[in-house]
Amino acid sequence: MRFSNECKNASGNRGSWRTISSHRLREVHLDKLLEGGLREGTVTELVGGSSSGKTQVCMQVAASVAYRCRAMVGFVDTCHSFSATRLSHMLGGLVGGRDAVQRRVGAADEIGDAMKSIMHYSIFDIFPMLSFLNQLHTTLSVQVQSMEEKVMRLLIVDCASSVISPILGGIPGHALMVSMGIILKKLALENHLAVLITNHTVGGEGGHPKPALGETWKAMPSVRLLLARDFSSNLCHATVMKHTSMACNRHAAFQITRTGLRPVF
Amino acid sequence: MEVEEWVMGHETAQNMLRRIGPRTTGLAPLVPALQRIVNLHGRHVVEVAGASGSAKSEFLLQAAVKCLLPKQGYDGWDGGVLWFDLDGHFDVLRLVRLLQAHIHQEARRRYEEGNEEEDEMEDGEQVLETCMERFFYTRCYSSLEFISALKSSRNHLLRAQTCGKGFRILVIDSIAAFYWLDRSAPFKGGAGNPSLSLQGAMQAVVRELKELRKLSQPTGLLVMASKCNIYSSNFSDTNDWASGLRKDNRQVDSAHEKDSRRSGLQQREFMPAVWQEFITHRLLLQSKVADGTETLFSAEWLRPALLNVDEFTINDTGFMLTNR
Repeated sequence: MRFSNECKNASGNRGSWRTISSHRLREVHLDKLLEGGLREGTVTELVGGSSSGKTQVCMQVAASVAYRCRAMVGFVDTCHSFSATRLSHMLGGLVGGRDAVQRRVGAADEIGDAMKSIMHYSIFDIFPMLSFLNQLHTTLSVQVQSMEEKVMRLLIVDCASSVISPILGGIPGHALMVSMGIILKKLALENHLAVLITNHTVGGEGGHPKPALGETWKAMPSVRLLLARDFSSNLCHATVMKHTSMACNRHAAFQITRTGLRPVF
Repeated sequence: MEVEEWVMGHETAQNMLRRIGPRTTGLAPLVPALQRIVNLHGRHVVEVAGASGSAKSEFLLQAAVKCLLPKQGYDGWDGGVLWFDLDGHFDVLRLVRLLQAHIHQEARRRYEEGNEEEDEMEDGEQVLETCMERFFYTRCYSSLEFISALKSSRNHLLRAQTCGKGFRILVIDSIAAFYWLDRSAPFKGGAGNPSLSLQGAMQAVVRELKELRKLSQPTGLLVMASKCNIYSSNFSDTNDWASGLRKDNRQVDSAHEKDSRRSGLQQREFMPAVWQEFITHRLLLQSKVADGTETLFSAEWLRPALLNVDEFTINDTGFMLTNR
């Protein structure tokens, strides 16, 4: 995944907005769709019905960032959908070689290093989630960056809606949802993370599915991607539904294979 | 004699208009496509309402860009912009891209008129630098932070005025960002007991904005705020608890309900009365179903109530009307 670093300070002084560097890694399908991949400081939401490939995309993004960017990845799993075996297959696909025999020497170490930089957290309730996010914000803010240590660049919350929908209803529920949104944005902007969250869909007007969690949550992420699975051709279609600085309705398709996601043109 | 002096007065109305006029009237419209009739200047407060993804932040960004650009050649307001980002959706790269698009357009126009080309590059860079220097950005994560940021921008405003380039626009991106947080705060009530409930927070915000506007005399400070919908516009697919809330909510203003019913949409007004009385202009933006890759947006002025609805698309140089 390609990252673009942007620095701006609060008083908007001249000079700081010029230091925009982008780390260009590999042209994966999502990079082309999002004109550069996931940006630091933004919250990207993946919306899709069940079994539309959301968790697969999350794991592929985690594998790609951990291997290519040499960065730490935080994976918050709220619905027991994370699989270390699948992640190792995806990393194997990124490292290269069809099986263990063809892989070059040291590839297993590389896969091991990448796996070690993906931190997995199982959180199933809103209050532990809020306290975890706040704690992560404090830890990352006081962290002294050294050259050898890897720094966290990506946070994935797989199925943010499964911790929010049980408590949604009435004013306190909405307030908790908004506080979770605010802490995710704070993590993205102040700790320079790219945040990727998933959401499921509910029925909307005219039978078209719409993102769950209501109107207030719709305004929270900066970018929204809609995933739909076509079971007859085993393809996954991604469409840009919302973007703060780009035109919408761009479309890409990819296939879920044994070693990860492959773009289809 | 004193009586004669008192009768004659200090200056005639014509002199006063000549003194103040050029600074408040005769200003170019900020977003020309949508401002064919409505003219905005320093004593107005504009609220841009709409659902998520209906180009509200884009509207504010275009207005800010027009305000930053100099008067010479770009027809801008040549003033500073105070941007309060309560939503976290601001993109500095987009701001730079918009400024560069305007500068290139102007450079191309000047080249076509046959002027020299060598100064264009440095000139453009210089213009970009001066524009970015006048843009001040603050990010807030709660109502308390927002109110304290407003208070601390008083000094900033005064300092900028003494330097010559005062602030002309104050932008609040999503005034309703902390709506649910403020509503869930316990309301202690009482006149002498300020609380951080929704009413208290909004009262404090309006007070600070009025104070800032008073400090920016005589040019005034145009306040532009975007407001995202909290409740979905189609009431048929909300749950039962929403209708229960509607009975409890006594903040709905009948004038605004009449406005929204005329526009054909049920846009429920949820901001407290103190904010509704503060605003002088309301603009409603909507995004239509896209055909292909072009998204069509529509704009309607609710206050002043104009009956026509404009349709437009967005590109880097501004809003392009499609129905004219």
